[in-house]
Amino acid sequence: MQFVSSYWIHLLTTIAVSALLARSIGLVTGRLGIISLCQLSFAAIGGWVVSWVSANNPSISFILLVFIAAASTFLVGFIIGAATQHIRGVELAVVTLGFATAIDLLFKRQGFPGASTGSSFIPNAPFNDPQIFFLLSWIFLLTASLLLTLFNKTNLGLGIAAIKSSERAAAALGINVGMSKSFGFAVGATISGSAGAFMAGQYGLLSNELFTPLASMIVLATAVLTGASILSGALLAGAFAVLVPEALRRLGLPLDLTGALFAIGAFDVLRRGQGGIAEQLQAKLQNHKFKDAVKTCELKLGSPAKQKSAENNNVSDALFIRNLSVAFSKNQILKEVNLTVSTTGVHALIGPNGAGKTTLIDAVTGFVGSPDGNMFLGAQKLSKMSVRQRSNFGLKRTFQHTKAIDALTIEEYLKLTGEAKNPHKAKIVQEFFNLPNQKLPIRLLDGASKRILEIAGTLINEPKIILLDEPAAGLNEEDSLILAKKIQQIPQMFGCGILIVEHNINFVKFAATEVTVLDGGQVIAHGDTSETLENENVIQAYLGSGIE
Amino acid sequence: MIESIIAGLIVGSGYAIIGVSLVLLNRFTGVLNFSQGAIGAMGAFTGYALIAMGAPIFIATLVGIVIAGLLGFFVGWVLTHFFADSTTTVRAVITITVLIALLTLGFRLFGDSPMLMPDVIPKTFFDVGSVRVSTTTVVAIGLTAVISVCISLFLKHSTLGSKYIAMSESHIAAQLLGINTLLLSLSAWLFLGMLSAIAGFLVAPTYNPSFASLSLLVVPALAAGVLGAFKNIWVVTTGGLLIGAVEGAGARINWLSEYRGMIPFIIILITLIWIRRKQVWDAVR
Amino acid sequence: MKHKFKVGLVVSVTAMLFLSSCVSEQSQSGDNKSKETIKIGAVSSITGPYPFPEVPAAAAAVFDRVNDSGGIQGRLIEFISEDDGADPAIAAQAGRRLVDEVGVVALSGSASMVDCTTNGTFYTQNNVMSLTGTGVEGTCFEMPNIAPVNNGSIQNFASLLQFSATDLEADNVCAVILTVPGLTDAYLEVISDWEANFNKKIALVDTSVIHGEDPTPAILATKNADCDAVIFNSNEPVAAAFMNAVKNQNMLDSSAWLTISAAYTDSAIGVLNKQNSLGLYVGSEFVPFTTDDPALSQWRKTLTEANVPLTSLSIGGYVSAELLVDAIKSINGPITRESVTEALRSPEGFNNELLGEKFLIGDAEAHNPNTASMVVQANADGWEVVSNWIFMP
Repeated sequence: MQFVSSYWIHLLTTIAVSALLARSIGLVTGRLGIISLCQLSFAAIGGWVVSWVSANNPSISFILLVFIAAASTFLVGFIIGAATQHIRGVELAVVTLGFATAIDLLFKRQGFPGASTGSSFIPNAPFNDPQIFFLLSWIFLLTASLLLTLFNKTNLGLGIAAIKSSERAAAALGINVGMSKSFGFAVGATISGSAGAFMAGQYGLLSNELFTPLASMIVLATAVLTGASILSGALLAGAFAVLVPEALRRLGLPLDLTGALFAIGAFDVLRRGQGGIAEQLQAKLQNHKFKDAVKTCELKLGSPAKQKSAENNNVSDALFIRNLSVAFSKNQILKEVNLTVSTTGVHALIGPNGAGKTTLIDAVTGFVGSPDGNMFLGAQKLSKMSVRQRSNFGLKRTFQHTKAIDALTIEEYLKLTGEAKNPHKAKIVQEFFNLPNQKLPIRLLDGASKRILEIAGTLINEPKIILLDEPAAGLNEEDSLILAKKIQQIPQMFGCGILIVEHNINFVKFAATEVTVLDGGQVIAHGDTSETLENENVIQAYLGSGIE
Repeated sequence: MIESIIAGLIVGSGYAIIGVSLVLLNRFTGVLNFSQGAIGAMGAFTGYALIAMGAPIFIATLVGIVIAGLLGFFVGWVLTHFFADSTTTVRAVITITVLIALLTLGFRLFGDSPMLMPDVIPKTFFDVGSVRVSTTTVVAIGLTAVISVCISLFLKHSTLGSKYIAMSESHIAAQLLGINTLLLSLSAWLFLGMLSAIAGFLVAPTYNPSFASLSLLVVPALAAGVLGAFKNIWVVTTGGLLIGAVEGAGARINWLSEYRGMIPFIIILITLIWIRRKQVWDAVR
Repeated sequence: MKHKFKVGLVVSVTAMLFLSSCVSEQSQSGDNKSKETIKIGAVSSITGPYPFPEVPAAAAAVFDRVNDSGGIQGRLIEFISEDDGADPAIAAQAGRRLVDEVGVVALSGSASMVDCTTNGTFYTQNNVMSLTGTGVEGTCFEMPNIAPVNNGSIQNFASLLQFSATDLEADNVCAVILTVPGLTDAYLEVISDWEANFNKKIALVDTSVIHGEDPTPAILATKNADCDAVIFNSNEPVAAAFMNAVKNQNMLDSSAWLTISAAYTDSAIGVLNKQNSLGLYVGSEFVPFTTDDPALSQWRKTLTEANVPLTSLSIGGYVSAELLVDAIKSINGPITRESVTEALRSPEGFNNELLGEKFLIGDAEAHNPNTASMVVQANADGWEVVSNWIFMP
């Protein structure tokens, strides 16, 4: 049953294998944000494992070999990912380039099993038939892509996208950043490793020329060009890898132009800064689909049904800050700060710029190394807990700059903020803030709505205390007052206490019942909102800083 | 052993000089240039191609250095013109596309025929004890040291140098001080491109590299840069020389000799893990 | 709008690439039906880091010559030489296209960094023979359906070992193996064979340097081992670099220096001369091309007319084409892939005046039919032949 010539079977198989490689770059670079210059090194390891295992166990099935290769590369990828979890950006790219040259050297020294004796690896029946091998490669590619799509929708997968946009925000959402990064990197390595396994099956003998650092760079360029973070982009990358040399050959042009063409294409894509070909296409389709959809949270006051009454508020879950001091290299930011945030009201923290307000939130949520003093959430001492543990324990926060994740939809973001114990919670939150269509990609939201979405996110997973850093930034006066009233309702509705940091005094007046004023890292006033705001010292502190 | 270490030092001087160019470029322009080695290689190979065509060594070397400088200038212009607002990661990927293009061009221009790679500096030998040392070694190490000293003095004590320091803190702040950051960036690209070609000329007669292997000197050079935390030129210089020396020594250690080329990777990995061990979080807030 | 246009452009270009591939594919198979030409292929690294363009070019010159005199059985030869750019993926693509699409009867004149490893298994599966012009990889000498016409680095290295023991009468013979992927074991094997045959012990085996890196550490090691003859493996540029490093260590006279045939070129002698590092012994896998041996005159004429460089490599391409032509001429009956493969495997073998011995492929699982070589030495006047044919035991 020969439906196309075996040459085209080979080309189509190559497309699947190249698409797998591009897909792994799409995951590691596109989704996780790590520039990887070593994806083909993982393919080399996968290919080596297949050749080596089969040389020692000739009867082993090819499918099993692919899984062994995948498992081995997962392990290698995970170890490297875990070891380098604190290395980021360009420095991590340097590590991957170093790894690629080291692996290149290793295989230059060792060669692949069978290469020196000419004993090629031929997959056992039925996969020695190129047509069945071709089918297997496509089934594997499509299954892997499907699994990857499902994985991207799990909390771990969503977390990876969150990490790319901001590790701090991801941790504040309760994501285990180090683990997720290592896992994401390892999954990328696994996909490349299986591609290597297929290469071994396709070629019989592997040449180290397949896996040079330059080859990895070209794969990266191709993936950037086509936008391989989605399947269509990966398929396009696979097609390019086969059809471009084919076209050059037919046009009588030298084949070494292939790599250069991909490099130029990647250059152009990066210059435009709108993502690779397939990603652009997908974005356009999305734009079109949501052309007429509402893209803002139009806050309405109304009178929402009381979902939760105040008696649900567990008063003992209050946040107690006792004698908190923070210093960065002799620079005292906070000095013996005492503060209590009850679960029944909104507490505003105000003060001039540089007073230490954001540092206080950072310290409470675990972003400051080891501050002096004590912090309790109810009876639980916070000091020893990680950011993630505090978040999962019910301490949620937002950031001064918006950290909503553009790669996700509203629904995915809310899912990421935590498994709601109450399945209707997401719906309640959505109605409360009048969030747009759940399927709307966050990137289409305007800035103010992104901030509201972040606040909404903190409410999903049974928070005890939420800390909002300048929630009204970017909102116009009218909207910010509506938001203030909304926030005021939160303790009643959702049974959690709120600490807001805000400059807009009107906002504070509307939202907060209690105010603490920080200046120079010290509490200078505390009490009822209206009383405190009229306090002489407070006005002095504000005016003083205002004049300077 | 000592002779192997000395042989390694010549290559190490190449690592050091390219490492210094990488670090300075990164500080002044915010670009980690993966193609810096290839830029130097293009210059050195052009020089040697001219020598093969019968050009006098001095002229050919000079032309090679200028070519590398112009190439660096061009890459710098492209990056400042199109990618001024891009993230450092995007700019790094751009330099990778440049590297791919330069390697393609290099293979095409300087294929495989043996390139006579004579010493640019006349070579004589002298014996120190039982060890034979060539002037090349002395010149290579000396030149590396001189380059580092000059750059340090320049940055510390000249007006222009302090402008560069200001620029390395923040381009915007420097512009507010009336510094023409574009001009200074492009001059840095030009000058550092020329330096990389000098590294190529120093290394080539001993190392006799192919175009690709000279271009990939950027990896050990990056290791040297990492050792100096991409800041300290002195550490980068010593680091580069040391990596060369360790590789040279490694050649005579049986268990290590075959895999001594992995040393830069190990250094990159361990140093970065150590430097960043406390960097639990990404960018500030 | 601009973006829409761009996306549209990309989609249509991709579609065009795909369609053009399909369309011309059909037109080619249209040619196929006429069955007039004898199709022969080659997969070579014509571009990329280590190009060998003259090898398939020399083969093409032979086929043109045969076509000018009427072809074989009245049929013309169509030689399709593919470039792989030293990229295994492209080599695989080219090999499959030649065998599956074009339907070549055999391959000849290939010289590639990657072809044997990538396509060797495939050639076996399709029972198509490749008379490789220059077997670069070790794999070329390990596959049932690949028969290189050159010695190959391993065999040539073995010949040099023999030469240093018999002709140079060296006591301390040393080997510097500049490592190339997957070949070190093969070198070590010929060294132990040589030790057994000559009842000698090799004085030093150094494998610490990768081919293409600074060889000085290995050279210094030979100094300590007090070697009389040092045999190393290198391609042409590395040989020049190696000898330069030897000169720099002032060790040109401390032993004899020998390297394999890749350095036997006009440009290498020029470089060795310029850098004052003469004296190097180099193997020659064919009748040494720099001599005026009458066996070379036809080769010289054919290649000069076709404007192909006169090098040792181009002898490889030339000889592989001549051998294939001889084999096809010997066929009585239809010229098909099967009949050509069978003819090439003929137990009679083939003679070629540029080879030192009969070229016999046979039914073996691995082939290295040409093991005879000569040795030339770099002198101020050029390459000088310093040995007779060396045959391996």
